Amino acid sequence: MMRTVALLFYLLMPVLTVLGENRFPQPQFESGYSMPAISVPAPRVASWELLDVLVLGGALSLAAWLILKKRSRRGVFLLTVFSLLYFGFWRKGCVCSIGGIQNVAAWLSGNEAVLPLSVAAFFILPLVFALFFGRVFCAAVCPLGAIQEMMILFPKRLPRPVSLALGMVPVVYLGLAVLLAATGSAFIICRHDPFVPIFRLGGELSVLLAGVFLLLVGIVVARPFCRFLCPYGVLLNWASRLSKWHATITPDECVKCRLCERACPFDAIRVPVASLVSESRGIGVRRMKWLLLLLVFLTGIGLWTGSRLEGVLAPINSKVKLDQVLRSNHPAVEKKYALELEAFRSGGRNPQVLRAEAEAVRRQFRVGGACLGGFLGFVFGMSMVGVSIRRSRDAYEPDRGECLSCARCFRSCPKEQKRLKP
Amino acid sequence: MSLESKSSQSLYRMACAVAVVSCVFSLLVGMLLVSNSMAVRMASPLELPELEHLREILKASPVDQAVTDKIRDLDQVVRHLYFTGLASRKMGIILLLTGMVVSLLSLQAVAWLRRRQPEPRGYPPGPDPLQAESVARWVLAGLGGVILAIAVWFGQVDRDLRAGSVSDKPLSSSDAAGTSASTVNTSGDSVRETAITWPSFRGTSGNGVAASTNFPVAWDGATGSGVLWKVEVPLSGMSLPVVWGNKVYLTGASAETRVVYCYDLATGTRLWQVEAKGIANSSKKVPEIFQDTGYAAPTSVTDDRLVCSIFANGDVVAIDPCAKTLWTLDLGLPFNRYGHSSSLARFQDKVLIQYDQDAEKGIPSRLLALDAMTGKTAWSTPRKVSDSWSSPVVAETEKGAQLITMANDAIIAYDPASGRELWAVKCSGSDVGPSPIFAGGLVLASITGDRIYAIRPDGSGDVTATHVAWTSEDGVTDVSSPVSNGELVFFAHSGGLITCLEVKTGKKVWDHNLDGEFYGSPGLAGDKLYLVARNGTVFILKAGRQFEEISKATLGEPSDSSPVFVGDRILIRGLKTLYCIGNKAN
Repeated sequence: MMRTVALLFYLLMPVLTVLGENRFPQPQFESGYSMPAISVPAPRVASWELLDVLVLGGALSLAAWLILKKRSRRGVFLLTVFSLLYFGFWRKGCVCSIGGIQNVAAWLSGNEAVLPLSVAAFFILPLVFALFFGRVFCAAVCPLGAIQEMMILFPKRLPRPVSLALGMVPVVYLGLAVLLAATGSAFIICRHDPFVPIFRLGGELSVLLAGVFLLLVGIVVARPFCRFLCPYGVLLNWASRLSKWHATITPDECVKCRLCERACPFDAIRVPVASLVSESRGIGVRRMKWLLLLLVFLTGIGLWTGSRLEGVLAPINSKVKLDQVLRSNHPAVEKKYALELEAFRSGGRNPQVLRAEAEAVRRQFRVGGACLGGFLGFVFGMSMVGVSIRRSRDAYEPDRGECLSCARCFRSCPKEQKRLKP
Repeated sequence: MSLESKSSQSLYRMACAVAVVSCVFSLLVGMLLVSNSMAVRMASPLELPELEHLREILKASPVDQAVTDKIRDLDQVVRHLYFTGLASRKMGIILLLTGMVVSLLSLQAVAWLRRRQPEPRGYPPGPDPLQAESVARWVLAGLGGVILAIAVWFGQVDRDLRAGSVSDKPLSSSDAAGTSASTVNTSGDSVRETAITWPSFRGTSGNGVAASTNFPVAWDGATGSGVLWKVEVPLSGMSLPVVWGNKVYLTGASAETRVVYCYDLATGTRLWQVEAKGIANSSKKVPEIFQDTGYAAPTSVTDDRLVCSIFANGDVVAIDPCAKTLWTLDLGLPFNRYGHSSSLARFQDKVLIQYDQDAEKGIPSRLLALDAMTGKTAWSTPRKVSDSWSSPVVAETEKGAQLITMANDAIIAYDPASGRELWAVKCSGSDVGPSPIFAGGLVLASITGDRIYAIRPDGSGDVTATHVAWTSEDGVTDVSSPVSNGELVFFAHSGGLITCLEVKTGKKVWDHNLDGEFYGSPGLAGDKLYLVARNGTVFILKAGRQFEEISKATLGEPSDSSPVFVGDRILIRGLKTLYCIGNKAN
């Protein structure tokens, strides 16, 4: 019975692709009719932006209280539903903290980008809360997390090596997103946000398909976007590791009953580890030395490799691409970019100016590519060092970085049950 | 299973039933929506056969108001249907989402009711911490390695593409010339462009050296063996093809007609031709020319924005890659005994013209620079020389860019940015046809009727006594220009004598008589010299310290052309035909 229902639901998800947008050419008027001027929606009035920030701050505070003080999974779930409705379907997924990374990167790069205060607040507030209370934003405030939260029906645990490998994808995504935003090339996080077309009931088909796919996967692999794609999750993960107060599985001393061991759909519960390990100290120290050397090597080779990717990455920038098209002088290429060429030529812009601008962007990519490569090499190296550092643990604890503070594990603890029903 | 009580069991059954019904409902709505969506996506309402038919009728009778009205009515109906469909789709989407939310809630209820008590005793023991650490390290190392390999591969592929994907070891002009500063890249082109373009007379650097090395050494134009394509050029001309990207530009002219042709490098298809006509003040008088010169002897210049050409009557035309004429200019009928044949040069955004004329007629020679995009004169400098047939070359020397010119009376260098004269070497030539090159740090100029001059380009004023490194009477040519690899320089006399001199000293290394006459200048690709004889035979020699003939190829028709090296192909203009020679496997 269950399998039939699940199968039906699986079959159902792809039909969401009907939300994909259609385009239709405008009529070709020959005379008499003047086309209306293209208009863009006016920016949201400041008071509404302030309301968004206040709602965000309130939701974060409430989430922290529900998780750390109240220890209420039901409260967290209800707040998740609210966030899905408000930040997701009402605010249509924008502004969001994840995309805020790009605004901040563009602003810091000095490319004449403006950073609205509301966007800055959306970027900073969840990180500040993570520094104090863990990933309460992921738990109940992020609309992208919320829509996936609703899909967790039959979660399965992934093998640890698989989740470890997939967990590096967001780091690469973060690095690329920052590079492209800082060079003024693209806001890939917004452009490829898989759930925004669902919130807006319309969008680009390929992105929508990606969203549907992630929701389907999310039925058995809990919150795949949050764990294996979200670039903001990387920052929250790092901040949460330093959190002053973090959710605990038990409200009291752990009795190691193992009842919570499988309670987390995100595989973020760490089992107790004895301090004694069957390995001599000398071997461990030697390994650590090699790993530290490897860290330096990986950072260096990352810098070198990244600096050579300018030719691959720079054409993502529209100026560089247009310059390339103009230079190629190839009919097939010109046909492919006919609209861009027409716009450029009819705009009366000087190709030499474009070329100079494109060259400036290329220079940015040379430096930025090296930084990206160095960053990725450093993170990989640090991750290898991190997994090699042994910490003794005498209780079941959430992994401070990976725990999404969803509060699912609370109820599995007998001490928690006792607290609730004294 | 937490379905112990009867109420729980009935709740579970109800949740399952709701889930099934809502899923089936949503599925049906969804399928209808998908089919509707696909139909809308695939439909091209504006390409309806009826509409197309009406448009055809309208084309035949453009003033038929009835047809116009019919088209408008049909267009409106089509659009109305389309947008009505979109509107109904919105309702469908709302139904679908409602059904899905109900499905999801019921499934959540089902999952909640199916909860099981955890059974820790059945859990397998966790992995050994040391082993887990080791696995984690290997996973990270493996993933990092894969990402690194992909990044390196992408970087390398990109670099190969930039290098023109034609040479394992691409020769830049400066490498080929063996000098730290050579006649390179005065327009700021990238390395890749250097490999796939040939933007002016004798290439980017103006010295006839290819940017890559793997060119064919055997072909037969008559049988088509080794020839990728050949096309007949309607009007003849001595000008060489210039190439940018996939476009090959060529000029041809008769006494009355002057045309710029554009061919597809890949196939030889003629993409367009533009006649230079309607030029204001253009002289209707036909210039007196020597038959060997013709009406279209000067080679054009090109870049990604335009091709600029000059003809024997002094008409200049600039055309964009889409065949649109950007500007035209009449320089006035040149008084030149054999006809104007000096090719254009380019420097940054300027087109440079050496317009030497017969001093005895009282018409001063001049050098002028035109803005490439507008045709406006950027600067103009008078030249105290008589008519010549040599082409100017922009050399990138250690002192900066210099525009080197040759004439009967002097070799003169100018600042290409301002037209200011930098230095001059007096000479006493006659009917100077060859053009200079810059190699090994020296300007090499073969002054017909005089000697070969090697000049250090770091002087100013009259440097005849101070900066001539050496002169040689061996190897002086009359028509063709030299070519050099920086160590050796090669000259081809029209009579068939090939001479090799040492660039540094001017000492003769070897000379050899070939069975051919040479008007076209030799080209150099790696260690191979390509010499096109007037009868169409192409001699391929080793560019070394000893004479060595590698092979001979034939065009199948006479030619006074120099080889044009683009990518891994050679373009050679015959008397009537343009040949593209290359390896079909590439």
